[in-house]
Amino acid sequence: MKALIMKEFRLVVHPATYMLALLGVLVLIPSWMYGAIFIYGILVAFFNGMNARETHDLAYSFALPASRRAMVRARVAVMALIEAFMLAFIALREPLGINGIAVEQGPVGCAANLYLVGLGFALFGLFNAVFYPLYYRNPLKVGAPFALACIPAALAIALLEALPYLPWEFCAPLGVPGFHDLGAQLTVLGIGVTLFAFATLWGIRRASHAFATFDA
Amino acid sequence: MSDPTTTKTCLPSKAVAETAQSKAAVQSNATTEATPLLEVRHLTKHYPGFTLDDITFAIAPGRITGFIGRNGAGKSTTLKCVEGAVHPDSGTIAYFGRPFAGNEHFAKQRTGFELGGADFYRTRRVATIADVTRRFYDHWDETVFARYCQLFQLDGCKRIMDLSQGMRVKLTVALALSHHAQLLILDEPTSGLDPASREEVLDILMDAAHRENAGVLFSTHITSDLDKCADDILYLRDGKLVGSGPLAAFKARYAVAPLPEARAADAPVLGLRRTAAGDSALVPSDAGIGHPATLEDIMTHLPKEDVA
Repeated sequence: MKALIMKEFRLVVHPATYMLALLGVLVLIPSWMYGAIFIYGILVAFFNGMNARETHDLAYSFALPASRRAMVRARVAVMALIEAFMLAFIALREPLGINGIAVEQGPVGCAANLYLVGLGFALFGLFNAVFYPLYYRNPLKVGAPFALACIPAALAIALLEALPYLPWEFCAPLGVPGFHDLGAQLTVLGIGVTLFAFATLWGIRRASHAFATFDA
Repeated sequence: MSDPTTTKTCLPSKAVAETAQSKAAVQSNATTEATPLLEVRHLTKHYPGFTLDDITFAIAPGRITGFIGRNGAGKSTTLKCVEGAVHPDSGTIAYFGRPFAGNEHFAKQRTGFELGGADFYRTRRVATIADVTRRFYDHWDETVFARYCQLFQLDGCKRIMDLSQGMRVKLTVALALSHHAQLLILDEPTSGLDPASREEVLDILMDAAHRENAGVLFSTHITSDLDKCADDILYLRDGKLVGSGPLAAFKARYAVAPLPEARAADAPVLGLRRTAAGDSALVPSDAGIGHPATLEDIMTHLPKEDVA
């Protein structure tokens, strides 16, 4: 598994992946539409799928002493690592004093807080659960699975940005930047991470089943 | 057919000795002289418009098997089934006496594959690919890889896209041999190579087979490759295995005679070929006419069997 993850990073991951992953830093912009970060995040899966196809990754990988299931696990694990990396930038906001500036400027959609991170994890989990099982039916076709997986992801991003403006009381804190009401924020983060883990593992399971019957 | 005693050595003698020692250490306790390295039985795969039909063969240690047939005959599909990249509809595949299903890791640790024309990760450097590959193999030998790089003049700093086709093939052969593969499976490894590079690759395969007792299965369109190094042959036509066994015995089954002579002798015409001197016919050697057929004769006559 370790060797496969190394292979993904050194041979398969598209150079644009690193640039897109670093765009997680956009969370440091005060009062911005952070939903865009998730768009960049899911693009990573597309670029890497395309790059794997164009570099004939399967021709190399099938010769290796590695199971198809392990190949799936490694690719999704790399994606999960990148997704987590993008969301981790939020930890820099408080030390850099960005939360204070954001409070003064007022919210634009969902604010940068742990609610956003929790919901972001859930969103990435949703994308992984939809994209990878479709993609691994035929890893030589990336576009259609990506387009299909983008539909629920786009709806989720729109919902994420709209949530603070909904009239329900529990939605209001989502638009407040910073780590206020930490207990509630951590709870949502925990739920988001759990959903992410379950959805991604489910995606791996379904993707492995799909890939098991694929003929190169 | 090649004689092991006259085989050109592609490794320094010390290197060969070291490699042989490592090889002996690697050789599985599960394999014996009598166990085929690869055994394929009744392999069948259906596609719309094409069927790979009931393919059965075995690869023994120390022997080189040439896999021939026209484009679309099913050679690559067979090799992909053997690699696990394509699922056969029926049939069994066993490596080193163990079923492939459930023992894929065991089989691939001991087998070197080159089925993709060595055309992967074109922008990556040779050294990067080697460094990634070595992590997958329990018996990777960095010394052996360095020696092959030196022998093949493979520059670790070069990107795959900067290598010629011949150098790419050499890279994949070097990768396979550096983990002490007991079995090498290659799809047209000499395709696109200049004659000198082809000789070099064939010499390496002969070294692997005759000095390290590895089994080699390789497909090719170039009959002179087989004449140079193959011990056995598998001849595939339209998805069916129409000939298999020792190359010499396979060739001895056929003779070539002018068509009128074959007709006059009432010999069964197995295939036809149009030449400047008139039609020539492939006939069974026991018809007692014509001259012994070369592999080229057999390959160019047999596909026209239906015409006859």
